[in-house]
Amino acid sequence: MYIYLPIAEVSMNIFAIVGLGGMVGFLSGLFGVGGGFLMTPLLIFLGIPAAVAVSTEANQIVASSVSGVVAHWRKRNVDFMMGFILLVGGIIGSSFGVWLFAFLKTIGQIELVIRLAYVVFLGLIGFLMAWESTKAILKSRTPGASRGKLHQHNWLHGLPFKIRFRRSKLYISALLPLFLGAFVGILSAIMGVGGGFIIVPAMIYVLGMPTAVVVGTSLFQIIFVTANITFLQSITTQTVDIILAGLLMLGGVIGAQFGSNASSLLRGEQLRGLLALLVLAVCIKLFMDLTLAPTDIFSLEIIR
Amino acid sequence: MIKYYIIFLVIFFPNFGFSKSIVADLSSDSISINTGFNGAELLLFGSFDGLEDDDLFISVEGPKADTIIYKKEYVSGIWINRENVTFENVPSFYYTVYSNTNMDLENLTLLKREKIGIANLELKSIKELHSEKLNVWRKSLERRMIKRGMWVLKKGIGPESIEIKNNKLFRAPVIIPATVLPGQYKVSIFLLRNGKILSKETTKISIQKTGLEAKIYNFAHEYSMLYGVFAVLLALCAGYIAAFSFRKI
Repeated sequence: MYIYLPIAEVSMNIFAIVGLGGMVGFLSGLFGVGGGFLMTPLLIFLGIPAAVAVSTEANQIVASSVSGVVAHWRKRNVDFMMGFILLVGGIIGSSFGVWLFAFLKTIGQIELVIRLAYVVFLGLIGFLMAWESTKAILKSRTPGASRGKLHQHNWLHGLPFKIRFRRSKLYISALLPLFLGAFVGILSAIMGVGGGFIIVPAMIYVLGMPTAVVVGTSLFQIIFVTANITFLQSITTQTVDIILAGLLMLGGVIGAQFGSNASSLLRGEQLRGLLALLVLAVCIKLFMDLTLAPTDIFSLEIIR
Repeated sequence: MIKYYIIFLVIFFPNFGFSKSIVADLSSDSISINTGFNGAELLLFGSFDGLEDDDLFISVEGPKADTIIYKKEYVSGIWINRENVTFENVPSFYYTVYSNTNMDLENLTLLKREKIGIANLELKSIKELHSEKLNVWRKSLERRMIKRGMWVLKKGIGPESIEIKNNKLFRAPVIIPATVLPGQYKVSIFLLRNGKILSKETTKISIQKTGLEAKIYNFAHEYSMLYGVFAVLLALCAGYIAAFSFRKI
């Protein structure tokens, strides 16, 4: 059964869209990430224009993050103070990102920048996670291994405007989450991701937040950042397809519930190891697209 | 009396009888892009006054749009769009059928002169370019449009291209892909004989977004701020409902 998507202006199989949403939703529930880094490239691969894929995916992430944050809220795993500062940075960053996106589109380099951003960040994060989780798995097999300090102190902890984050048990500079939020906001707008796969490791390794509150807090701020992107893209480029987003949401929220239940079957470091492999696989695929000779060095774009 | 009148017409108006020698119609002259739209197939049919060696040429031309061609180059390990050329008023859809498989030179020059057929379309680039260089860009435009299925050339007689009966009746399927732009589509039928256009008939197909598709598209473009708010609210509600409906699983 085919459905014509009014903004994307392509016809797609309705079950393929819902199924894709469900599959990516399952993985995002399992790993506690938004799934945008998988969904956006897959949508582009299926023939949705890149601009529509990025904007629509932002819209879908709003829904998946809301449904995800509710469970963490109940378990009191959201650090609102941290989330608030992250989202202030995120809104500034994503607003700039939407502008940058439109600019890159006019000079014909948006596809390249999207791909490069994916390759660099997925590669970096995937490698770090794979390394860390391998270490953790090996460590857990060594009996009597002692638990390290809560977090390391370095120059980042010497920055001004220190704030106490009670739920995270941290006393750090507000500039850190502000800049982190802004940085991830830019990437969110350009890559069509919530940024969970960047912000979650950054919260753990850079800010030193306890793992328990990381996912809930990142989901909380992602809601606002992606809502901002949805709104701004609607105004500037009219590339948010609510029919496509609605179908992806339908599949995504169902998949995510099953995924988050399945996540209790695996241990934290195993989950991170698997996620690392997934991230690296997407990275390698995109890297090859950039470096292998294209079948035709010419490509076209119709301007409306 | 009538006999003399006809003789008079034949002498002074040698085209009499040929001037309306093609009559054509479409199985449908409007297509609506609605929720279930996945392309369409129309039938173009009609009659003409033909001889044994006559050829028919059919074209369906969609709305025009400026089109950019990018050329990739290998720069420090990756393929990057370097140069680009913008062509003005390129038909977004151009479906052509030529009833003869071997294009003889006479008809080929005719099509060229009349600027019909994929290779003969008049295309201008926005910036001035050397004609040889421009031709390379133009050829790649043709190649990409054909690859996308938006420009089509079918040659010869057959159920896929055109069927002709007794040099009198013809029927040709017109296949509209799902990715077409809405607008007016111009259908032309040419009767070719000895390197001349003997007769020409035109008709139109109107392709429009209708129903929910049109409403959403117009909403997104005319009230984009409201649309953005609506999209965000929709997502917030969907996520909230999902979180509670799955509470017990």
